[in-house]
Amino acid sequence: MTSAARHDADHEAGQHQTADPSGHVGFDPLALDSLTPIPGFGEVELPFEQSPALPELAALADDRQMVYLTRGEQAPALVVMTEDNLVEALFNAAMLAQSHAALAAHDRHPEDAIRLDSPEGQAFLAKFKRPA
Amino acid sequence: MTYRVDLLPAVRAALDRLKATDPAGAGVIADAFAELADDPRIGQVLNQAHALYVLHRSRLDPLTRRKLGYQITYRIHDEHLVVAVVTAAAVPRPSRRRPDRR
Repeated sequence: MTSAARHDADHEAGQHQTADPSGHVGFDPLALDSLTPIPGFGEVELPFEQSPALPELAALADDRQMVYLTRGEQAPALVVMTEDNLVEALFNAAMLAQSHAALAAHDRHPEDAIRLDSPEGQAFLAKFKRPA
Repeated sequence: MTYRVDLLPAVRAALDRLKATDPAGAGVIADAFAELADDPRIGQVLNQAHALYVLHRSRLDPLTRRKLGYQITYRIHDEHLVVAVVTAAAVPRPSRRRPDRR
């Protein structure tokens, strides 16, 4: 999938939102968020045959670029990125999945959230107060 | 203009767990909630369709001299001036395959 196609898919994911009569936008877990571009990373797409040498690929990866080496319709693209960026991207994906689950639960039981400006919220925050 | 900050149940549980192992880190996250109330758009867009954002924070561990990262995901409801914090967690430490760490 090209980066343009990923962006198109992301846009399409927005069509999966649902709204109740009050206008509240709910969360639809079927949205295609796994295809969302990863925040904080750039994308470079190059034909495999025109791949730069490894030092240049490494420089791009160090610059937080995800390099997609496309191989036509016959094979999936190769992706080059640093190990640290891979860990971060996987963590982001896990957080996104966790966010979706939490938001779906929140849409079912919005009363379970606490307001930080409430006495309960202030008491909760006080537990984490650090010494000045 | 200040936003109200709401915490989803999973965030409270995550912070309580983090406090047990990394109280300073839990404090970093708790401090960030006040920043979100002042300006929710200090974070990066995680998913535009769902108005999801991510905020990164870090601290230097005085014992190990390592930089420890934390990540907060949240949804902005501009129409109600509410920020709903959805997840909060410590970010995994980066690569362990560097020669100086073997």
